[in-house]
Amino acid sequence: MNHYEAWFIALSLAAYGVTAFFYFRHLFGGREFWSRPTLLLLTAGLGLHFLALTAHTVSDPQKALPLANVFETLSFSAWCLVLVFVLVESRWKLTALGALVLPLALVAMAASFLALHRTAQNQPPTSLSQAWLGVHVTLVLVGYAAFTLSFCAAVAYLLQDRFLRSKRFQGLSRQLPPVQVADEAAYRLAALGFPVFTLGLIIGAIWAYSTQPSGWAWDPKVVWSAVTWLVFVVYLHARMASGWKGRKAAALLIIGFLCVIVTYVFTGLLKAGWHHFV
Amino acid sequence: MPIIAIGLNHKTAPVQVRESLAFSHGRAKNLLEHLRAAHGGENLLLCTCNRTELYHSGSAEKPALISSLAERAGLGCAEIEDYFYCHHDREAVHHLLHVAAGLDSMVVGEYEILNQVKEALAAAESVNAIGPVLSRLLHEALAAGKRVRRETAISRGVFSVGGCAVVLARAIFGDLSGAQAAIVGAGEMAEAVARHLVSSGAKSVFVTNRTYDRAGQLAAMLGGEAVHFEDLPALLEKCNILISSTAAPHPIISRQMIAQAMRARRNRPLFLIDIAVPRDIEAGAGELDNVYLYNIDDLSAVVERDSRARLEEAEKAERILQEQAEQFLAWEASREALPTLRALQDKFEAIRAEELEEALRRLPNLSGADRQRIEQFSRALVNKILHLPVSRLRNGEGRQEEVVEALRRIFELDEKR
Repeated sequence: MNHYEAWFIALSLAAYGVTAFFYFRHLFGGREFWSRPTLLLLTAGLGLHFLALTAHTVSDPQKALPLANVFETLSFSAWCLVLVFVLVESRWKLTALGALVLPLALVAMAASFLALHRTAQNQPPTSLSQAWLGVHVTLVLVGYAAFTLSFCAAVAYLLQDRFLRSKRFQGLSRQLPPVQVADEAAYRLAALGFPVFTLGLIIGAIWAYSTQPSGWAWDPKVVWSAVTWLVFVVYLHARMASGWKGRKAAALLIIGFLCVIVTYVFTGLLKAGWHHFV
Repeated sequence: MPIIAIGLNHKTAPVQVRESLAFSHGRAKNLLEHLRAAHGGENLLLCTCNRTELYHSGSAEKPALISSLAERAGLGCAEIEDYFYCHHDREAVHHLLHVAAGLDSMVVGEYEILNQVKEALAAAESVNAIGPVLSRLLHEALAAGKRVRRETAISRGVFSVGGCAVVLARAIFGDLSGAQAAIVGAGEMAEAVARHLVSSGAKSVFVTNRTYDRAGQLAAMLGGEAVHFEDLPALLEKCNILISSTAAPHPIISRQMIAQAMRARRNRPLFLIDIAVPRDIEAGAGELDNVYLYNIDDLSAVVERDSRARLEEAEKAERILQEQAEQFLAWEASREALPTLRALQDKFEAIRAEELEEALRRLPNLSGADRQRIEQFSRALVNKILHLPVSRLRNGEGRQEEVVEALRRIFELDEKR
């Protein structure tokens, strides 16, 4: 980590932290909320984070994308997550999700620092520098970010649904998004993330097949990716063909997100299989 | 200048009395002109559906003001004077601030009163009925009202069953501009709720009733469309919000009917509001996915909880009002102290000039520069001595009247005037 990168990271963390505080205060305090300045600050954090990733990448002449180890992918994931949130917030106004998304992004960044020193031991195969692999990882992580936000919307939906049903309509529930809006947003995010994720998987498979025709199919990450993919297929099918909405649909999205966590985090901890470096 | 506030409101006077003293815009201006001619001073009339209040800064007292009001309203003084409360000076200031903050309203924390105070100020200004004192007081009251609403939760939440229905509908659908509401049974309460929804942007309203004519009447009033009662199942498929308030002794909308409608709606959320007693909609319908069922008790409970929460905020509001009131009273006190201040400065200036002349006469050999230096010294000395009492009077803190009185006595300021 060089001098510039450290500064950019620190500043972007500060911006994320401050906005997280504002989103929390909005959700739990019900105070006045400056929607635009908060979003601008978050966008500034996003820009600084991008500069940090860029500084990190250019500091190593062999690197084309910051996606070769846990530190880099986690940081990049957090960046994607915040990016998707900024887009969603500026379009659909799901402010309450900020209090869920930003802590997740901050946890991902904190985790990336913990993984900073693993970099030396776990070098990926040299072929990782190949462009297709970079595309594979990018698409999969963007897909994850969309699924994560979809999960957040589903959680907001379930909370608001519960508040409305229990007739305890006070405080927190007045800051949560309307159920129909949260439900629609969760669906759209899953529907947008799905093709991106699918394309990422296909490119990964083609790349793996071309480098090594067999032996990777039962890699834990590959298996869990397939499970995750299936869960979202079931969700999208149920939604489009059978008109699933609301609680059942939200529950499926939460299962989908848990699969993402298993695929992304836990299989990585196994330190075995084809994907052991990430 | 003394300030007096007389008035009556929903707590002190029955509605007939309030009605007879509800001055319309034009009559209010006439009254203000009459008051100025009769009593002089500054006058302001605050008239809302729950109160009629007169603020006067001048020499008139309660009976004179009440008789002016009674005369203009065409009433006998004896008929109404028992309903009036009366506040002087400090209490009058506190009272107006309470009113503007919505603390004195029937529904504590309501917004409308702030606009009404603003209008009262504009009306009084338009006929030059008020001067610096009441003008400053009104602006202080408006500022206090805004501050209270911004810094406390006194105006948060829902105020009525209709408002509650709108807030819940927004928590389900978000924007209501695409919402279609249906009313089953043409009760008064259902109409009130529907009006709230329409004014919040609901796109269309369907009305159905056992007697089609009655449905037609209500639909015409709401700018909606009457539907035959047999078409209720189709209505359940079409609308987002359904308000039911029939006099039927048994539920007319079963869980079964809703479940069927939900299939046809492909689970689009449905908000059911059951205002009828006994209930019109089977309670079990509320357990279905994407169906939100609220009966009148549920809605009232939300309103009730919110109004209790608002009352708890009243204490915080009280502190803010105290601060704002002190600010006004300090301003007023410093205004009142102005003549004393000037008299004090004049007196000292006279002493200084006299003593300086005397001193210079006894020191004829001084150079021009030295004479100037002594003159400067005399000015500095007087300014230093006066600094504390002057700033004390300007800031108007504490027992201003006693300070003014003491200064007048000590320096014999009155004799000189």
